[in-house]
Amino acid sequence: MNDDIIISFKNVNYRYESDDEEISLPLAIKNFNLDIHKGEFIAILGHNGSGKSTIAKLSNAIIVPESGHVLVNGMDTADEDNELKIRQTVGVVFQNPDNQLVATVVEEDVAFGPENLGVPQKEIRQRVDEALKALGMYEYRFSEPHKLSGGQKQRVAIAGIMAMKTECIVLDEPTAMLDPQGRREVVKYMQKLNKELGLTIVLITHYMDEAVLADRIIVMTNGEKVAEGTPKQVFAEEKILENAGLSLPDSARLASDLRKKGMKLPDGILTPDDFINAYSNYVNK
Amino acid sequence: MKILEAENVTYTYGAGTPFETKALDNVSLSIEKGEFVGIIGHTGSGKSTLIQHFNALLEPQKGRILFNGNDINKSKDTQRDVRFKVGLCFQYPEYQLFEDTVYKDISFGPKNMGKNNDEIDRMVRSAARYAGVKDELLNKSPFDLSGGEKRRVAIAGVMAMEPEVLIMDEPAAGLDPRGKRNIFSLISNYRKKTGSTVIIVSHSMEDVAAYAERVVVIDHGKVAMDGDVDSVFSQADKLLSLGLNIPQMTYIVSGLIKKGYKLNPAVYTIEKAEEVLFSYFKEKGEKKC
Repeated sequence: MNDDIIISFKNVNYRYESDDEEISLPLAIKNFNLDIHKGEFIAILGHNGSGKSTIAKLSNAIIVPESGHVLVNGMDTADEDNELKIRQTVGVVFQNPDNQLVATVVEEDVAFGPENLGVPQKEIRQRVDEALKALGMYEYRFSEPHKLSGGQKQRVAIAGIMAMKTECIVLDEPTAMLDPQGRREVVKYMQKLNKELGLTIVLITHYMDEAVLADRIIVMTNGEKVAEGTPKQVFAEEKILENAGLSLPDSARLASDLRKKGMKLPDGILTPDDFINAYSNYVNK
Repeated sequence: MKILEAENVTYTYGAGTPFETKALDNVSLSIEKGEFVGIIGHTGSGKSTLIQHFNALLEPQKGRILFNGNDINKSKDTQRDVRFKVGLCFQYPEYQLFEDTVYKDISFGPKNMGKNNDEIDRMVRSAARYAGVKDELLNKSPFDLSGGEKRRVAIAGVMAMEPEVLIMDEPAAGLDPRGKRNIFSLISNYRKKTGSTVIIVSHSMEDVAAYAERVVVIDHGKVAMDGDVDSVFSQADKLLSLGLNIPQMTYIVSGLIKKGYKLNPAVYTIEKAEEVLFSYFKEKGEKKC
């Protein structure tokens, strides 16, 4: 067992149950292998229905594989005795914050997770304040969650997971319901958690410009991993992305289109600033 | 010809309480028949409050809303009537599907309009076609469909009323890039074929720039900018100061202009950026190093 690996998917297959017992649904996840290293920032990209949310649920024993294994710090998620320990290690934040806020006051909501883990009262107080401060929500601790903006609600949901002090946070399309401002806020805090606190971040998204920030990108299609690598490697695979129902980040697509017309722009242009630099290095004023 | 007008509309939530917020502040705006308008503004700017006024879900506390020149809030009947003529499709409309078949869900609007069965059938099938809902899905339960399919069924439900104005709040939210392109191309196709007026509320500057003809920016309950796509998106600094994004392509071109490249600033789509940047390159040539 490699100590550096926090979550390991080994030949995982998973299928959802059909309402009709006669019908067996196709595999949602097919022979999936992935090692997530401690402190890594991974993005999982895929079209709607590609199986990426299933990965989130498999990662902390909300569901368990039909065959194969998911190991969290070496503990098999299929073993019920490990469940509590696994949930203390991997926290999952879902897409819609309205579905995961449970209390009528922000600080009570953040305390809900650690309370359920049996953390002593005094320590809960500390953890809640810490998490709310880290996410810039401390001044809202007495507010009613439903009166917050989408970005603020999502930050409260993340604070709730942080207060559980999990080593790894899996976020399933955490910005899908947010406006550009809210998206920027959430992404900024994810990077902070990763860089400053050393937490492992698994970001499930279909925003290419968010995936660009990750150390490593996994691309899913129909339950299978079809590409894997650094953002530069993955976004060089235009065909694979297109077949996966995804697109290049806008700046990368512009660069690629111009290269096809004969301009010799360098590889690895992913962001607008990359493009501006590359173009101004190449073209006369 | 004006189809929809807001005349000095003011609306305040929680008036008289400590939570009082002015969502719309003396807004006047008119929409021409057949226009494709994009409404943008950050969360809380008042844009959702505005579109709910357009089909009488909210009544102005001051001012009036006119449809084809008539006050839509004159009576309960005119309010009911305008809901069929101005179709409003909310964000995540698939959460509002409730019938046991797709067909029944799409027919809900026409039924409420008191149409006979033949008419209902025609309206359902034509809307399903516009929204890209395949015939074989009509007898399925909406809950067995994929996310993108559900979204299209919900949109068909609004189109089935054959409204003169179609208003959509974030029609592509939560969809992957391919799903998003599908939704926008079906909306433009619907508009071309039916000649309807279309209003889209969106956070995505790229989508608004690519599809709308006119852009209205709402900020703090007021109309902050209003004009064609060129005139609004060429004011990048103003958009940024209103807390909005600018399209990535606009950012790139304005970044190059700041570096001394003499480019046309009115660029907001990849196609246009490609054209402008390539012809500049052809003219000036490669740097020799």
